[in-house]
Amino acid sequence: MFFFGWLVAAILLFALALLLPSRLARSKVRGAVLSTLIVVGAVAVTAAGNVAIFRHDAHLDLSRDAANSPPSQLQSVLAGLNTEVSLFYFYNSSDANAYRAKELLTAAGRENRLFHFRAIDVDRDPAEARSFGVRDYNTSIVLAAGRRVVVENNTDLVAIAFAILRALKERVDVVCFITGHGEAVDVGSPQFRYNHLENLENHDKVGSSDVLEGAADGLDRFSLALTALGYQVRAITVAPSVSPDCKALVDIGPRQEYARGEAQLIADYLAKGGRFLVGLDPAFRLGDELGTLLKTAGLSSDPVTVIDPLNHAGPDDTKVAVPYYPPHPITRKIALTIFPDARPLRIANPLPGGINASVIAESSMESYQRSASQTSPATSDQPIGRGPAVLAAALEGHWPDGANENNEAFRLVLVGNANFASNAYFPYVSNGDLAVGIVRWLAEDAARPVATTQTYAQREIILTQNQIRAIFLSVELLLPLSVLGFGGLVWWRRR
Amino acid sequence: MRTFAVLWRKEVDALFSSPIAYVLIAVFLIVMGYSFTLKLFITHSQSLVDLFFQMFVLILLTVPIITMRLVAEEKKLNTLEVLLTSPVTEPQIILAKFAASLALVAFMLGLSGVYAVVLALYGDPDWGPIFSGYLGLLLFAASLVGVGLLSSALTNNQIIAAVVSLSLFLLLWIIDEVAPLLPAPLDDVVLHLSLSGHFKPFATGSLYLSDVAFFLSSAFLTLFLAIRALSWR
Repeated sequence: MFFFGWLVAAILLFALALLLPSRLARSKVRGAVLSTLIVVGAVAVTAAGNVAIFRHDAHLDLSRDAANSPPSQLQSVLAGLNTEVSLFYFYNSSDANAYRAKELLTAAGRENRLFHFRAIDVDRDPAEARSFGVRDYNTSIVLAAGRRVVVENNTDLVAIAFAILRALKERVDVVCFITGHGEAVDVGSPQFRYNHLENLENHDKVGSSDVLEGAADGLDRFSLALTALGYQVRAITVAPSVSPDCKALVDIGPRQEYARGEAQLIADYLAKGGRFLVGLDPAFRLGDELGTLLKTAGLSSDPVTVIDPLNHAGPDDTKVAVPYYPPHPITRKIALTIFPDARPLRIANPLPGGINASVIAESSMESYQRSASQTSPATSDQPIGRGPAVLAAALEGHWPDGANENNEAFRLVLVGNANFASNAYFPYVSNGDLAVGIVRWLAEDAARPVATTQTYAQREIILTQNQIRAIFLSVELLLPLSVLGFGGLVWWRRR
Repeated sequence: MRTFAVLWRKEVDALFSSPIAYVLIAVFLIVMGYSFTLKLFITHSQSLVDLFFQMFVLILLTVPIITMRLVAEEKKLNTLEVLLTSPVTEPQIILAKFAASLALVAFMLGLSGVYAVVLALYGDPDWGPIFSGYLGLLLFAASLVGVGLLSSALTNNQIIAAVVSLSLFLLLWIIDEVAPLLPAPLDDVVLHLSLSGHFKPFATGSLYLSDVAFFLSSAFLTLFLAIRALSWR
């Protein structure tokens, strides 16, 4: 619409200009002066129009795979900017991937006034690179509000988008993963390998598609996603005390009951406005400690498994799929999520005073539950309870038993599943977005990346020898000779 | 409008009755056909992106030959005086010459559409970049024809008209190479004058309003200036 509006305006302006009289004045000198003024005016109007359009440019990507658009993560990050961000990209113009990244960043820079992009060819301008302390190709330096984030040896625009988010983060929030109850938490150095796409491409896309190697029930992917967003991830034990610099506590997949006193330590933390994410498998026994803690907030959960014959991933009806969500900041822009071996949650009615609860995800109307110990298909058809089961709930408010000195509200998210955030299921559709979204909500983080997949395929035409011959003869000989023949005919007739 | 149609027909007849037009088109098709088949047979690529850049260069070189005679020849042969004494206006004359010259370039580009047809027959090309590439070439040609027409309107000599417009085109083609050597904000100004810089996104399927505006506004501006040059005479 903007295209056509501009086109109509330009044509109207041109038509109006044509209405100017041919003879502007009787006097030759006056006519010359007026003509000069008109010429200068026309040039000025054209230049001003071009500058105005450049500053408010519109872009239409006509390619099939939106190949000329920055990845959705970068677009989303730039669209959400409310402060100026500068990106200096040190590249090598003979590197096709780096050149493409530079072109897309240039395009992104043209569309966002708060995003200032400058590409520096390291080979052409080594002094400029040195002044930034850059020695390697494909280094990005992001500057925002006095903060500086460096991404080295990377042409992946998704990584650059996350670098911008890190630079925008005003504080470094610490996310503490609880250990000591059999949780598969390892926040050390993750192991990577190249995937087959990179092998095909001679490893020239550094870091863009590395594949993580880790235990299926581990939380490395979750932890890495949080690190990419600028969180500091730490593994802690609850006892002897919960560190006050933990912005959020995460306990995914405990296998052993909490020790005496641990629940009280967490309750004290929550009473001071703490944030807590718990993910529990059906086989896990809550025990007195965690059971009491959750009950204080109005939550409980039985050790049963949710079966969903309607919405499930693949043939396995214990892999409950959730396609729709009640409105909540966590579930904004979340697509399908999978909860393999989920347990149902119960929210007390009424809830303890000062606490509000929201259902984040629930199974379908046709779902039912069975005992977590029932593994035989023969007994699995005997339902315990029918109807939708709450799979995840978010609570906020003031901790009931706490002496809330600072009057800060706690936030708690209980998920009746630990696998959804594990290495095996984190990449499934929107599972990763949900896990990260929960932590962002807990940490009150306003940044908003969106995950998408990219295609790495090139379409080719394979021709037979006959087809090659036919194309060559028609395109290279027949077509030009026909034009020459037609021209000769016209010339002959005119002669 | 009828007068414009008559004038346009006259210009089209003049262009297409000249052997130059057919030689230009044939050379264009031979060069492009060779590039197309070579690329298709060796890389099996379904894209016309590289071809669009070659067409860009060929159009840049051929437009001065098409436009050099448009007004300069009429001035030299004194037929312009006859034309101006008839009931036609300067805008009609210039716009008819512009539309006829652009029709020749469009005809040339239209014939090269055979390459896209071949790709469609034997593969599944991405039509978005093909459409935007041709649109870009047409807009680019429109701005070049405008500049060529203006230089032809400013002189009586066809060779001078061709040399002036060709020099300007070549300068604006490679001007972005000079930009890094210039201080800000002059580097930005020079970059925005680059013909290849504005054409490149079209070839890859990216349509920017600023690029469309650049080519169209330069065509409008040069046409307006050519009309004023003719009126001033």
